[in-house]
Amino acid sequence: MIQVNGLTKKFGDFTALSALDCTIPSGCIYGLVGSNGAGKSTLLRLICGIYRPDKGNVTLDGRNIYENPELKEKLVFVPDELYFLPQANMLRMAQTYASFYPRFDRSRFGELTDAFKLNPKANLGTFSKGMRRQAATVLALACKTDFLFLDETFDGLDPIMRNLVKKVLYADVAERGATAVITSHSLRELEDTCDQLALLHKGGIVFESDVQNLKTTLFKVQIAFDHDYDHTLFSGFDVLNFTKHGSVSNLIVRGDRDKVVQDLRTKSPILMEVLPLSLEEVFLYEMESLGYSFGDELK
Amino acid sequence: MNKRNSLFSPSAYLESLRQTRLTGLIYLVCCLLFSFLPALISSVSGSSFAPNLVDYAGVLFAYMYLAPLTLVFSSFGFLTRRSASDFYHSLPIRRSTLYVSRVLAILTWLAGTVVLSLLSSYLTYGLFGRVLNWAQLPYLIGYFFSCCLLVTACALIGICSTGTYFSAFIVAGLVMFLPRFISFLIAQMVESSAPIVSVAELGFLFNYNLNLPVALIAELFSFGFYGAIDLDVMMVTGKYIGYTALLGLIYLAAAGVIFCRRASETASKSAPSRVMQHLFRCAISLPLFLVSGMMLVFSLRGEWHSSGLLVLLICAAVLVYFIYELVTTRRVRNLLSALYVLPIVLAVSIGVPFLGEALGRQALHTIPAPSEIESLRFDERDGSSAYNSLLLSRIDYRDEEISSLVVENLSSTASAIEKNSHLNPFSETVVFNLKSGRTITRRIHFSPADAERLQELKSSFNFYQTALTRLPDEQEIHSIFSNYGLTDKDCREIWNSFRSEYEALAPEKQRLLQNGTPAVSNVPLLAAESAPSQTTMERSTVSLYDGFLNVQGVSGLDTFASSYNLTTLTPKTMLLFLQKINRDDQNTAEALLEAAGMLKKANGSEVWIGGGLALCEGAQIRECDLGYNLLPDMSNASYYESLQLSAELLELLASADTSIDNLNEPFVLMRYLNIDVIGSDGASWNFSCRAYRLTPAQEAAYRSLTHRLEALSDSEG
Repeated sequence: MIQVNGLTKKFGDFTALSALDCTIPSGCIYGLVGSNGAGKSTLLRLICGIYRPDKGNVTLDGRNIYENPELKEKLVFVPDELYFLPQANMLRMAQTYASFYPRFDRSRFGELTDAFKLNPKANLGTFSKGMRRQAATVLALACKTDFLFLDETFDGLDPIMRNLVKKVLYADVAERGATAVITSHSLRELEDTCDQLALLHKGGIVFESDVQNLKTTLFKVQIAFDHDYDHTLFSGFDVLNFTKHGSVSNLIVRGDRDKVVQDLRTKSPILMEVLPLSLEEVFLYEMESLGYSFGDELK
Repeated sequence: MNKRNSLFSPSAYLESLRQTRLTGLIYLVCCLLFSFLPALISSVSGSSFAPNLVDYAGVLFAYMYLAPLTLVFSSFGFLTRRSASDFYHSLPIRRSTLYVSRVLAILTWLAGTVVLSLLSSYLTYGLFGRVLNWAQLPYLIGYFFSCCLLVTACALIGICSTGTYFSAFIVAGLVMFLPRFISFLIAQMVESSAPIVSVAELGFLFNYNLNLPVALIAELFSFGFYGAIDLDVMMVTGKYIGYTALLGLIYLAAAGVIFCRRASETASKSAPSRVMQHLFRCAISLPLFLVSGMMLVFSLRGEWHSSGLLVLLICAAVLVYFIYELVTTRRVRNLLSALYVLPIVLAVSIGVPFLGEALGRQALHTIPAPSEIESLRFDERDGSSAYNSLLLSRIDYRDEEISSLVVENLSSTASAIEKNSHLNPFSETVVFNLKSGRTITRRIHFSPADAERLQELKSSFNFYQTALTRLPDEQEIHSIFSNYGLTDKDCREIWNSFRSEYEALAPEKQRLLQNGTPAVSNVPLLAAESAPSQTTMERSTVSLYDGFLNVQGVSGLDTFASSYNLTTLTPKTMLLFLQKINRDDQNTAEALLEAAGMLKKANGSEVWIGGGLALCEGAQIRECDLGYNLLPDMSNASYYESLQLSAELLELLASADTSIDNLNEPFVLMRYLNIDVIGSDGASWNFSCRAYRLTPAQEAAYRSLTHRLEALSDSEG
């Protein structure tokens, strides 16, 4: 388990992260979402021991990660801006990774290279953006580390390759009990991938929760009555958002879906329909309830 | 030790070697090629002289600056790219381990290339039978490697403390040269305001020879005039090599600390922080500001009148200051914050020259009373590295008359400087050991009468006479060599013979056999015995030729390099020397005849003849230096006659007997002879040292030929 405590990082006058706390449990896919400049990449670099925190610390099993090679052996990082040695091909990069990661698995590397249909002998400089991302992911997965940190994981990948990457990640998490931490500025990317999600905004985590739980406990109800009413009619419910157009209202309600529906029926609506929310909508409404306003940033 | 916490990681080291192999191999191949080829060409062209120190892998002089810089920038180039820097810092390895492993990989390439290049050069010369001094090899390796080490360390400080190649290059240059440049300017100010002050008194920081890469540049551009020494001496002086290596190691450690503390996000920035950016900017413009400050002081003294140039320099300094900021940060608004720091640079640039001026003035007025002096030492070396100069420089004189004489002349020298009046020509550097425990060093100008008296006083001491004539102890000698195609074994044999004959001579004759000891040549008392060399002359001295036997070694912490003349004063040694050089002579006569034949046929070709001949007849030596460039556009008579006479001279030498067993019979010593016939059917001959015994008829013919050649040369010249 990775524990982040009171993490602060400044770049000159700009505060990228401010007293950030979070916990990344083992054996899950953890998503970090946030707009550009929210601090996702900085957080990953701090966790991976690339940056030294100005305040706070990052620990793995209770030990500080920064300048601790023993712990860093358990992490591998694929940044948003990829780096390969000049003129290198994948085999040369595999040699480099193998020099530093003792668990680097050459057979796994071969399998994944084949699965992604990448030519390991071709110069990486000749690869497309998506192929380079695939190559970096393959190399990271072959390191067989306990934690994988993937920044802007799906950037430049076509839908087929996205699915392949997700599939491989699931397999690593399921078979080896690895933990993958992935970031994106788009919630849609992470919706069907992550077990846990955290929303970063202006250098802090504003919301962190289990995805399944979020999606089942928050839902939209479209409801109409034959008499005039306002939001007070629903005072007994945990309504996060209320909008009314004519006689039809839209409610974002938190709670047990069946019980809420049963209770609403007792108020004799002339129309009632329960609609599922996208993860993006769930986050927006949750944030609004906490007093944050993101506008269109997450869309 | 825990493998993970170790400072060295074999896998990281090997990975770094792999990453730098292209650069390293290109340099290695080039160095091997350019070490091997010159040695091959020089040897094939027939030269059998012992190569000079700079002839061994001369390419390494360029390598020691270029390769460390390229290898460091290649291996640590990741620090200039954010993505690359993040990649390396994400790897499971301590920063210190990463640094040490990568540095060791660079040093492996450097050391390997230096050693292999020198070996390749040595072996090539060796294969062609050239005389080699193997004792110098460790020094040469030490010289080149210590230079590489220091340049590597400077480049590492540059790249670890910045985030772009440009800034890294600038900072590396500053680390390398700025401290020496500042100390040079201070010394310049001190020296100009008080020319009697020795820079040596200011401490080791003012000895430019200690920092070998800077000393070489200083020598190349001739601004290291404060006690600059010959490159040959520099290359085999352990003190300089040791200092350079130590400084390199200290800088390497400093670069390591910077690397470990460096934030990965510094990559692609010109400096890790605004404070460092201010520091770098100030440092880059400081040399120009300092020179301006120095000129300002000279102007105030009335020694500098070009105010236009001063204004130009200040403008250039200000421009460099702001342009550096603009180029490295690309933000115009940063110029404002740079402006706030400018007064600090201005204050330093005026403060440093004034500090030098003040130090000089203070030194000028420091004149100890004779009663305050514990002892005096005279630096008799004065650019010489001879063994006897070294011994003489170590003598502590505790003599009241000497003290009074020295103080009197110090006072008059200081007074003459203050009044800007004429200084006496004879000067000596004197070290005053005062009773207070303080040591001061002054360059004192003596009146001719006082110089003579001082020499008399010094000479009256037995320890002075002993130091003047003593030969180095065997355990002090590291190498004995001659430039005339003799092996180490030959040189040792000749040296042993020389030592036994030398020790039987009277001191005044012993002094004549020492070459280049200032105590012998500079002092008026003995000046008459040292005749200047001329192109052609009848010499009254018995010296055959200067510096036939060179002896190098270490005495205490000082290195020495003495050379001794082989003369008829040591006849057995002289004879032994002549027999040694004539030992392998079977092909020379044929080659001389072949060259003579070619000269006779050289119809219209340009011909170059260079050589040094000496006709020795008892104590009389008649020198004849040949140096002709015979061009077809000369008057026909001169051209053909010169060729004819030269050919006859060669035929005469070819016919002469080379078995020398009696020094009383006349013989010609041919020190060297080079003949080049330039043209489509050109040819070249290089003859090394040989001795030819002449019959009376041959002697007459030799005299006639050389007279006529000289007459022709004079009429053309």
